[in-house]
Amino acid sequence: MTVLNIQGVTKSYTSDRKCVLSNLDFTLEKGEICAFIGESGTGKSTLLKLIAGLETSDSGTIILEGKTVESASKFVAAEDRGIGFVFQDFALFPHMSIKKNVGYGLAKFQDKTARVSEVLRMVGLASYGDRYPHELSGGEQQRIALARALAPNPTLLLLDEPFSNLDTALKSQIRNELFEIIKGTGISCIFVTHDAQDAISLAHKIAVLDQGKVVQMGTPKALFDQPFTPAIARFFGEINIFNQEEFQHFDIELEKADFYGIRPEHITYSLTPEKNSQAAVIMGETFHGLWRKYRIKLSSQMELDLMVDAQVPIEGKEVFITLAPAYLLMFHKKD
Amino acid sequence: MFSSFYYNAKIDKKWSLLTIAIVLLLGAPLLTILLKLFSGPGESWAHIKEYLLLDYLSNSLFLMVACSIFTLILGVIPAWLVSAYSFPFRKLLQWLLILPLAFPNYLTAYAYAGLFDYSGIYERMMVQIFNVDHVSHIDIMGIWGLAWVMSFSLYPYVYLSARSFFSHQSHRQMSAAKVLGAGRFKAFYSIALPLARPAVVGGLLLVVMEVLGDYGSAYYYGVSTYTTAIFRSWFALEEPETAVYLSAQLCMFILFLIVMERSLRGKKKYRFNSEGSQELIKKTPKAHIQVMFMLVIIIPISLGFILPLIQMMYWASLTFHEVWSTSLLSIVWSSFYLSMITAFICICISFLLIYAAKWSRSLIIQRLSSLPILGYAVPGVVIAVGIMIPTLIFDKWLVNIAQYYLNWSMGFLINGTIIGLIFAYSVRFLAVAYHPLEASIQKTGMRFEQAAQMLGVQRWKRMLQINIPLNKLGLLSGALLVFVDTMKELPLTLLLKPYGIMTLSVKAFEYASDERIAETALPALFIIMTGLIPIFLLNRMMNT
Repeated sequence: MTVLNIQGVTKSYTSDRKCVLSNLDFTLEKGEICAFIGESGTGKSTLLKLIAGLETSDSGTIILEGKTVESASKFVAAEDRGIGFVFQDFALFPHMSIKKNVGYGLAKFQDKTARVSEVLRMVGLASYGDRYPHELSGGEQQRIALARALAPNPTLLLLDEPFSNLDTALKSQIRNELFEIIKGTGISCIFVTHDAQDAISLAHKIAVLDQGKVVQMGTPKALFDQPFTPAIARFFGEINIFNQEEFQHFDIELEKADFYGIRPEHITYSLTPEKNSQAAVIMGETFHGLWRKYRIKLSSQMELDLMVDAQVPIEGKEVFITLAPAYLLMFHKKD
Repeated sequence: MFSSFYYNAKIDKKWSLLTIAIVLLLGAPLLTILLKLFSGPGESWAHIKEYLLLDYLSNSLFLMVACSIFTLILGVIPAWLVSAYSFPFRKLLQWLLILPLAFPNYLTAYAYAGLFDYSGIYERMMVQIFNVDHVSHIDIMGIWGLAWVMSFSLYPYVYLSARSFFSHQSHRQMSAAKVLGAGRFKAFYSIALPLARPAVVGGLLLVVMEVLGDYGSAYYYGVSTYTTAIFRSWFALEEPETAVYLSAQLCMFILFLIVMERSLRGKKKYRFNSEGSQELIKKTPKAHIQVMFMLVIIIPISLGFILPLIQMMYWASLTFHEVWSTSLLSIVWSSFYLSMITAFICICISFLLIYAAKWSRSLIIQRLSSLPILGYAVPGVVIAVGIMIPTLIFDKWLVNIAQYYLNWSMGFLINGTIIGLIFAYSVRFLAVAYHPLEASIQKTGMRFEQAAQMLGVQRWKRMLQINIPLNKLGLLSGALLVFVDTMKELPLTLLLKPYGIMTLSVKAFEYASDERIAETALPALFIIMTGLIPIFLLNRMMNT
């Protein structure tokens, strides 16, 4: 069953008239978790606010569980849409206790207290009811924000950059805990992030936004393995990109494409010449913890990045590289 | 933009209409005045233009320029000293420097008239100190005296804006200058001072608005200014058209100053990262320099606050038995409740306007909603004149309708009633409530309200449970500032006060006009004491 259906939504801000979203289509099925990713300013947060009803679109239709919530002639206010929203900075009411925060949206519930205890238990903070937001750590505040959003049983849960306010050290632990809770409820969920790692590890599907459009949508694996554009590929990690002419130097038989790419860690190398290998001079190196990155220059003057296990650094000034066709990505220019 | 407002189903029309209604209502007086600019003056205009206008113009311009120069010196130097140097009693002095704000300038003017009167405190002190029979008399009752008095009463506007800039926003640039080898003094005039210009000009604009709007001091010192001319043409010449015409000219001039200030600010975009703002590190100078700094700072404090206060207290002790009575208490009470109601109305309207702009989703409404704060730039006398004309038409119409349809001979509803007076106060002081509230709402942001909205909570409940509690401080400080400004207000009250109601400011003015200057002290002290409360709070807010 389709929970959310967005048809041709366009949005520009009057201040600079720049189109933030242009003619965007999107659907979300029940129980699905979708991540919107993209650089900042690509309209991710705006899209979330449009779905929530906190912003209005210039044109297009938004249908929630079969009911139109926004069209040219109709606008259902945010408070009447039944959507849960976790804000980037959590927006816990500072003057209310945790219990009051979580129970704030439960006016229509018969047994408010029981529901508050239930969701607090669900996020593992059952004993926190009488505390105030400022007494909680960032991770705890986040769980309370989630509990508050989930308490009224929303049809859809939206999370705006849920991990951007957390310390890197805690991030992966909290990320997994949070999504265990969300998956446990079976709720449909959309979150936006600028961190590809969040999207890959948590979402059922990922939509990449660029200049107000969804440029690619699919499972995390599909996006990682077959990105449509060099920009999308770059989003999931570093990559060397060559055009057709540059690629001919490698003498590899491959389907014709406009651009080819290979990730620095996928380039194979040796210290002595091998079959089909090319000699390269090492220009410089940088240390990346587990990896060591080398900037190398081929005889064709082309420069590439090469990632090597930091435990086995390359000795000397010269190296021989080979590109395995299985690791090569191909990109076609749009017509 | 207009078409999107009319046809967009997504714009919340309720809030847009409310905003338009409030803007029209509060803008009516100003609009009336500006429209009169095109309909021409009354008969006496030719006479005024021929014989008096040059006087009004030159006096007002002189006061404007002289007070700007004096307040600039009196405000910027102490602001720099307390921000950049460390010396004994610095914190106390920094606070005392704001105190003249508690004195409305007409009260400072009365006090100075007494200080330098024949056999006033000044002459008697001189006689005693130098053991002479007679000292030469200083005549303060003229335009130079007026400029002096007003400057000592108004310099805190410049001081406050300069100080908040120096101590909180110039840190990085000053550190950079220091690293590059510039001394404190060089860094002051080559870095801090030029950067502080927009802040200082903002403070000066407030000074100029006060100078141009003043009636009480100029009237008592016998200096004819544009504002006294408006009064004279209304009351002495009984020619409202000319009063309105003069008001319109004054108004245009002030709007011109505001536009100038904006464009001055616009051209050089000084942007400061407020998040990274730190307090300027203070240097401790040698002991004798510390003493010198303290003396420099004590000058404006004593001349702007301590001396006038001593004079007022001295007068109060002389006239206490005569003035203190139940009728004075009833005057205190009427000043108090008029100010309370005005404060309440201003804060409610500001709250509605700020949120309506945020809710309406229409750019045009967002722009419109901040228009009524322009009322603060308009002198009280101009607002009073601007209110009398449209409300008189409205009242007459209402009386006729009541007479015709209900056969009821009712009095005027707005003109010459408390409603009219409070309306005028609200037009004048809305900005005083609006600014602190807007700052508070800006700081709180919309995220808490949006969070409540996403939890399905309706608007009125969000207002009561989220927006009001979270902006409690902004609401309170806005209301308090309006309360005090209303207590102090003179020209507008003088023109619009209903028969039978007396306020502290008008009472003080009446005593002064009757040459019973000593009797002004008791009402004056009430006004000054009330004025001290927000100054105390303001200082605490600036320090936190």
